[in-house]
Amino acid sequence: MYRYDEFDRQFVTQRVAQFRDQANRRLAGELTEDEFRPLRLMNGLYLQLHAYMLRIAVPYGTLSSRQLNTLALIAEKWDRGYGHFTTRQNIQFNWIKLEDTADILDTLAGVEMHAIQTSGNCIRNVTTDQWAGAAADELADPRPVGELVRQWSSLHPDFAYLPRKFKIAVTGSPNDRAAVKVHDIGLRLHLNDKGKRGWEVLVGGGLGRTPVIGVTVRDFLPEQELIAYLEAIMRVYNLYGRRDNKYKAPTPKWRSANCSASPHTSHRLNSRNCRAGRPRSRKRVPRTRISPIGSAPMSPPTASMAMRSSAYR
Amino acid sequence: MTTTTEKGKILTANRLRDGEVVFLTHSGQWSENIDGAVLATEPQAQAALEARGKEDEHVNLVTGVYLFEAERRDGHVFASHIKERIRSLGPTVRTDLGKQAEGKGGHFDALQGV
Repeated sequence: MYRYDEFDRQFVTQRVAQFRDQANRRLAGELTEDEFRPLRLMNGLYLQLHAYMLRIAVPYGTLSSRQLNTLALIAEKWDRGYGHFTTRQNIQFNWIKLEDTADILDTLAGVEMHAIQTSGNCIRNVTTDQWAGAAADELADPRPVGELVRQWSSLHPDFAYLPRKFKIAVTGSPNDRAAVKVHDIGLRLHLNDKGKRGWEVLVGGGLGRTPVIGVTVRDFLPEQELIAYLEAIMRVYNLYGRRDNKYKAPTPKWRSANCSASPHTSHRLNSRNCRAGRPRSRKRVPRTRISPIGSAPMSPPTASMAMRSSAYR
Repeated sequence: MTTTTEKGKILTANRLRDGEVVFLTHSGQWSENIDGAVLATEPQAQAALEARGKEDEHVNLVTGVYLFEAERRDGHVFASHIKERIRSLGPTVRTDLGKQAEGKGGHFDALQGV
């Protein structure tokens, strides 16, 4: 499962300190709401219909008992005793106060969690099958690839200002519990005749105001070429996605009437924008990079903990 | 029994510190209950109300100040738009939460038009 490395720890700690300063400056009137809004959204803090809302990422939906206990603690100490797990495997707290938010983020950092990239036009939390790692029908646990995508997409400078928010889901099962067909990018694992792993790549799906089923642009992508291919898709989206109309932003060329057929998109992705097909491409992810992720335990350790939450009583 | 109806606009915002939905009252304070809101019936009074709210936005008491249409009937304020009725009550999918559960909600249903 997702664990902080040294960079993550330092970065998140710095980000919390920055946000604490920003929130204090906002409360003191040194920042206007227009100045503060993008700063709070970068840290997952919305101001919605009823109150502030903090959305916290749960990468590929996997939590340790320590993390879950901390979420319960946050709910009791800073919210109203509950939170809302979302369909995309985040958790949202709906009644928190601006003045408490830095303390909450600090507490989250203590259990290797954060709210970065849970808002705004960036690549959001990568999601997967809720039964990943335990489903009888899956070909393999999809979470190592989820972790690879998380590492690649976190703080990637090219994808900090996308036309619209961008969502990726991964499944290792032929049964689409991860809803990959309604994600901007959906990845579905296949095995070929020789038992080799490859990924079906779907693009352009989405829900919201105009639901669209994604189209398959690659039937069987070798795993080592996955990141190069994802980058190619992101380059196309960054180039052609509309920034003038957010309701049409998730409708780049591959969804438009003239090129809804996948060959056009496939050509674009597989030739001009993607170097994945070149065997010596630097964009290939070496097995030495993938293997440690795959061999790391994806299921969190369970631990007996003091029952601090009144909800357990 | 005679029903008295008064139409106009009231001023709303979110309290900066905690995001709570609030309404400007006759005394210039911010109430969590829509029934405490002052209703401005004339354009001049509405403009004055908005200016008063902007002052509080400027001194960081509230954020996102705006006017919306409402009616006062027998002492209770009814928001004309469903968005404002929902803001005045709380989540429609969980009526056990929000202002409506705390005795601070408006005296109407979210789906009830005026």
